[in-house]
Amino acid sequence: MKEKTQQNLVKFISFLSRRKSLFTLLGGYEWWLKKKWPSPDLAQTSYLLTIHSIRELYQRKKPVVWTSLFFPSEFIWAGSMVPFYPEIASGLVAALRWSDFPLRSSFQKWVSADLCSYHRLSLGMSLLKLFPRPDFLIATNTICQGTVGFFQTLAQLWRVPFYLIDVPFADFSASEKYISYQLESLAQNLSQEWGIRFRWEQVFSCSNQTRAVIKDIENLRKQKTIILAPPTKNLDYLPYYYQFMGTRASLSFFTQLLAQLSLTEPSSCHRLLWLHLKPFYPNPVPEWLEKNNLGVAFEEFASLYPGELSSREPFSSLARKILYSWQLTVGRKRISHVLQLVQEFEVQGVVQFNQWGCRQSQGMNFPLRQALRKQEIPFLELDGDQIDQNHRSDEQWKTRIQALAEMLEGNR
Amino acid sequence: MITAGIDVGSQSTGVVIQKDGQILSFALCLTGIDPRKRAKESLKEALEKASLSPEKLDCRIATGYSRHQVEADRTVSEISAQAKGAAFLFPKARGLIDIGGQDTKVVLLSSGGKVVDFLMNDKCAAGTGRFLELMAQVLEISLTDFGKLVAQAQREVELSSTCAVFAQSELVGLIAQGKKKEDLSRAVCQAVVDQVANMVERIGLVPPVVFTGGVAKNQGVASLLEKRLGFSLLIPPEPQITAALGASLVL
Repeated sequence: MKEKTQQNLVKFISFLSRRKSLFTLLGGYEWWLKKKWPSPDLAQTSYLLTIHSIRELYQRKKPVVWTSLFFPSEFIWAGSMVPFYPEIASGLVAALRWSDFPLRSSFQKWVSADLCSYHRLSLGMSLLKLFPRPDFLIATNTICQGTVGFFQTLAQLWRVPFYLIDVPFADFSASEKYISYQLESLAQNLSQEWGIRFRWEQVFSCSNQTRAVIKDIENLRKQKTIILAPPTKNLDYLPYYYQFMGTRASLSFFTQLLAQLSLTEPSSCHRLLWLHLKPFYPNPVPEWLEKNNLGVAFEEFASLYPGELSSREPFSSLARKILYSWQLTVGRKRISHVLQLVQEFEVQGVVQFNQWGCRQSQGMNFPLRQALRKQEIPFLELDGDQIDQNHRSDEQWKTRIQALAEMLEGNR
Repeated sequence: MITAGIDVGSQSTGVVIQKDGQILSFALCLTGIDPRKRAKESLKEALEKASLSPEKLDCRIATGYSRHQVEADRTVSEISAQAKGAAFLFPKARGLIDIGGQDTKVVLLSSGGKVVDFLMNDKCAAGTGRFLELMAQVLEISLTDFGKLVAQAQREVELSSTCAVFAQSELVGLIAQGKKKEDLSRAVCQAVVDQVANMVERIGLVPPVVFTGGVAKNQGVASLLEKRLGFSLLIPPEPQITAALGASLVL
């Protein structure tokens, strides 16, 4: 009975999501919220932006572009398109405790349960026609090797064009040129096929300003007594680092976060570096970290492209930004990057959440562990799944976190 | 100072009472479905053995899976408790293998007995005491029979799966092929050993290494593990109370 009700509910929501005019009504709600919250706090800002994004994505007044995490959103915003990051949206679906149904839906259509759950959930949401319909897809083959197959499948499911930006594995001097050329060709193609005009100035300026604010946040977080609480919370802000970079929304969010962080009470907890992402469904990991006097000083995925975007050479600067994502994936680069973060943020331990089936993160655990052990930095691995609760292992996580805290306490 | 270490594991509950580094008494029982009750009973038993009243205890420290359910002054993880207990019994130990009912831990120790690094199995039962229990059921033997049967094994039989569910059906198939109980017992123990040895090699343990947990009592696993690792293991006289002992010493 419950199953039947859920199926009917999904059909109804799917039906509603295709009624573009319905989402016009959200405009009034947005206006009312803005009146109600003239100076919104961080949570209210996030809520407002979610409502705004839902309206833009489902109303489809502008082209909706699905893209992968390391394709710069500035390219899409500069073309007055609306980006949609299925991997980020999967985290949101999990946070809403609604991942079971789409995961089951993808399994029923022969998607292996051993594949990455971010991709499985997105495919399920696509099969159910609950995610907003894309006009086309753009992805890079960084940082995850599964991305290309995932986007190819999405292209077939939605019957839309897919543009792949190929990022060379090796760090050739010509790599930047190669990517820049592909971006320029893509922009030309989109102009011809879709009539899209790119205006870089405003978006890049906004992105650069946001980057400067994020840099200030980073500098604050490098201070030994500053910890962003609750632990791992910053990973909830990833849409602002990725999806909304180049918009006023991201700039104002980080400006608020900076102000809030400046007022933070000094903390004496053990400082951790967090690698990869975290479980997005409600879970007690942050609470256990806090209980064990552990705080997250920095997150690998908050690593910022250090350069500025230039509207005089838009494609080259975007190419450099794309290439920077190799810091998170190519063995030597990632390890040296992690070691650098350990030093800069003066962390005492490193935690990696091993996402089920993720080769990008786990493939280099051994050399990473060896490198950290040389520096006497404990490395804790938490095994599980960030989206699919079937692979959660609360008691194991609890024991491991407590053991890490005791190791650090012993080293103090 | 008199302290009690209470280890409430998934399979067994152990309590150790110690005074200034001297073990006064210990108690051991199955955890069952009421860990809180079993911990209380075990503590009572250990106190009676030591001729102490509960008021004489300066501190109770709980460890093990149900550590948060027990009345205690503080808790400590099984990793730290096992390490502390192992280092107390064998001060020169540089590593620890603990195979309990539900999980397997491999711990790298510093010269001072501190935890340098550790590994735990994931949440599946492969390579744990639970795996052996399930296989023993299929073979219709008790856990204590493994040692004797492994020693009598003659032919090499291999279990291709370490998954408890798949291994059970594989074992049923091998029984149907007429394989001997002794050979199958060795295959079961070898499956656990291979799983644990991989973890040992992964973290880079070097001797002397202490072997604890209920599975350390299984002569079959212990001998095959020593053979696979190429060195002798240090097994405490009662390997199931090392965590409780360690917990009693953490202050």
